[in-house]
Amino acid sequence: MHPSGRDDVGATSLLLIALSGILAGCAARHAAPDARRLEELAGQASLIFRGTVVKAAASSVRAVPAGPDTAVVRVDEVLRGEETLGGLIAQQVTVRLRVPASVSPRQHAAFFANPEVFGENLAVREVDHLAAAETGADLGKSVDEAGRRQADQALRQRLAQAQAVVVGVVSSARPLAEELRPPRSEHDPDWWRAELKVEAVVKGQLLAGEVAVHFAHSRDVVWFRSPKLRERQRGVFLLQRSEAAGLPPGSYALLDPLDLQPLEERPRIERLLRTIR
Amino acid sequence: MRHPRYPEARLALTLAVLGLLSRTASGQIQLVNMVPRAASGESVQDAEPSLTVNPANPLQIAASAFTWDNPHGSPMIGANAPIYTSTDGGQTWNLVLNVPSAVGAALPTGDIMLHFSGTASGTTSLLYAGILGALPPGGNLPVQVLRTTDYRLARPMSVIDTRTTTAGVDQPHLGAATVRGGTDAGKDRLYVGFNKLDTSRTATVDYSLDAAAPAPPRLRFDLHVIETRDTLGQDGYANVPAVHPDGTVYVLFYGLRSHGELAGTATTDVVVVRDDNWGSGSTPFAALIDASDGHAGRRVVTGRTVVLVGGWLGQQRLGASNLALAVDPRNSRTVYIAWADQPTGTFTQTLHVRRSTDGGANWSSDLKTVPDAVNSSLAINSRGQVAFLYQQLVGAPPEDRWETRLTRTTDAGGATWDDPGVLLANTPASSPEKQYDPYLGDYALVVASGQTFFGVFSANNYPDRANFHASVVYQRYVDWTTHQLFKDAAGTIPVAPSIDPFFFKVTEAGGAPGAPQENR
Repeated sequence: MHPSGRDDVGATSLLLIALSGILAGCAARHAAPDARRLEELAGQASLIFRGTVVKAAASSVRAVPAGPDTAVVRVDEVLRGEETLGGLIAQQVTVRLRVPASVSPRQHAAFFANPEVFGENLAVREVDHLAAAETGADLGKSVDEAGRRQADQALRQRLAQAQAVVVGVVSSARPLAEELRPPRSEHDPDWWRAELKVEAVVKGQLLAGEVAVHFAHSRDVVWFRSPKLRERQRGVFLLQRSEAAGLPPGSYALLDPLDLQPLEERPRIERLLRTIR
Repeated sequence: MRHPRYPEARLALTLAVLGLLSRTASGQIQLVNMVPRAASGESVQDAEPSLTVNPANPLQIAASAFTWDNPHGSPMIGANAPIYTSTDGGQTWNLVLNVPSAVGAALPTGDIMLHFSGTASGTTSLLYAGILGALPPGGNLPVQVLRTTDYRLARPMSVIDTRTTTAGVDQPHLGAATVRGGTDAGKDRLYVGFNKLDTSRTATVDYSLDAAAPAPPRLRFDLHVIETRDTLGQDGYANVPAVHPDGTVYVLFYGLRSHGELAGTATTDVVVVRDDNWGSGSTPFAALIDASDGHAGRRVVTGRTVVLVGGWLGQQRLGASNLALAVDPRNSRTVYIAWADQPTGTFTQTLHVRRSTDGGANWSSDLKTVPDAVNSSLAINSRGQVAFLYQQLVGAPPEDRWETRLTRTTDAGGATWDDPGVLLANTPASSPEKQYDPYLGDYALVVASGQTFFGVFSANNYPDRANFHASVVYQRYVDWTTHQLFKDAAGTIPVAPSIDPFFFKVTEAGGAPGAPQENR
């Protein structure tokens, strides 16, 4: 018993503050992941995994010196980046922490990261991590959804840039130049011209009929991922005006892998276009 | 690391390492697949490698290739592309992500080449890179010159120069040296040969006389067009510099003069230019005048045919890229070149090697010719011994194979070669199927540091010891008995063969050049 009533009031206040803090902490730990935060992290991370901290201030990669900003983490579940992390379940990776000394041994967390060093083991640089209690059981589903939204955003941007989007079939494809001409470099695109028979206009002012579109026929490392067209090929074509060297001014060209979509993507494309208009 | 399913693989690896150590100790060959263990799942075409050795510490080596930041390749998943790094003389390698690229880019970089300087930076030296920067398709990829203070760190290199034109630029090749004496002692001279495609004379050098300077105005690059003659509209793709520490700078290029008789070919000169004072004068790269026409730039040969498009050796494209140049570190007047040209009426190519002992004024006849070959590279060590690296297609599909060979001179005059040289690799040429062009790369590289030759080439990684020099070591998970690559240590996830970069090191015995031992 304190001789002063004021002290009693003070002690009670402190107790209430402490209790409210604990309750708030409990509430935070049991809250579903903040969707916006998750989206932000997922948007910056090519690797997302649940892991258990094995050792703080440690490294399993010789090229990454151990320090307060590193930790060795066992991979428990891969949520994104199966190609990179797929063989590493139950294996250890080194995480370079955004905030030094922000993890402790045996801590479970979801790590949002990007590769930094491939050595005798993998080292990643985290965008951030979320404590296990912050992520909820549906983190995998949330990450998948975030990935779909990212993919949608990439296609949405390409759709927004396109002057026209059409459903059609390639009626012919041939080299743009009549004769074999020497390329300017080994990365020359080797422009070809295709005639598209337009079956439906999804975006733009094109009339039904035929439209010419150019594409890089080259298999060079600079171009091998860009769309290649062949006769009788059907699809959804995102026609982009291009001023690329070697093309007639104002030409349509398919340059990005996203510029050619399979027919079954038409509903998704129409849905995304509605969000642009 | 445990290999629970493969005790025989563990034994083979141990024996290989022991064999490697004994060979290295006695001055022999080392061959290492450079893909790190943590990237064992990759099955991408890691073509067109380059390599550089820290002149202050030959244990520190950096290398590059068309390698993405993830095992599945295109597109990039992060903002930085990798280089290969070693700190133990090439025995082990890491992939360190430190080359600026772009998330979602189809390619990690365009062409990339690396060069250490002699300027100390902490416990290493400055590293320069010349790249074609990754841009969205349709853009003109710029030539960028990069610099890092520590090649071992996953910290993006700094862009210290950018060159672009609306008509494009192409294929940066690097040469560098650090000034040893005089008022400029310690300054890095950096030379980037590239094709600047907005004119008809496109062979160009972009160079800095103080590339280690922190920022402009001290850090400055100058452009100089080294082609002095009319062309068919451009020069060949490669413009290859070589720099001697006494200030002599050579650049080798194809001067394309007219279209060839066969479509997709050109008639070309092979031209060498030289500067005797770092390119610092008012008329740079004009020290070699061709007496026959009075122009700067000695034409070593004229009227040769070179393939620009449509020529193939197996799955490997041909092109005006196969040039090599090396200057003797003991005497800047001694210089070797190699080029490729097309025998009349064919669509293949032959490599040629020639030498000048008077600074490029006069040239020997062919010291070597290698038919059906690509990716020539030359280096001269501190004893004046010359090494010539190439990849030759032998046999007919589907049994055709790429033989990667290193031949070296055996006499003090540098004209006798240990043919057929060291067979570093003898790998299938019809598989794996090409993912993009170039299949092996438009270049491979050998360099010298002291008496030792270091090099890199790309080849099919199918794990069969019969395909490689006996010293071969893989870092990635492999079962040599079943000839299978794996993604994981337990050997449960198989990985298909692909094109990988291979590092080699040839440690020469001391003394004057003698007959190098055949190692296979």
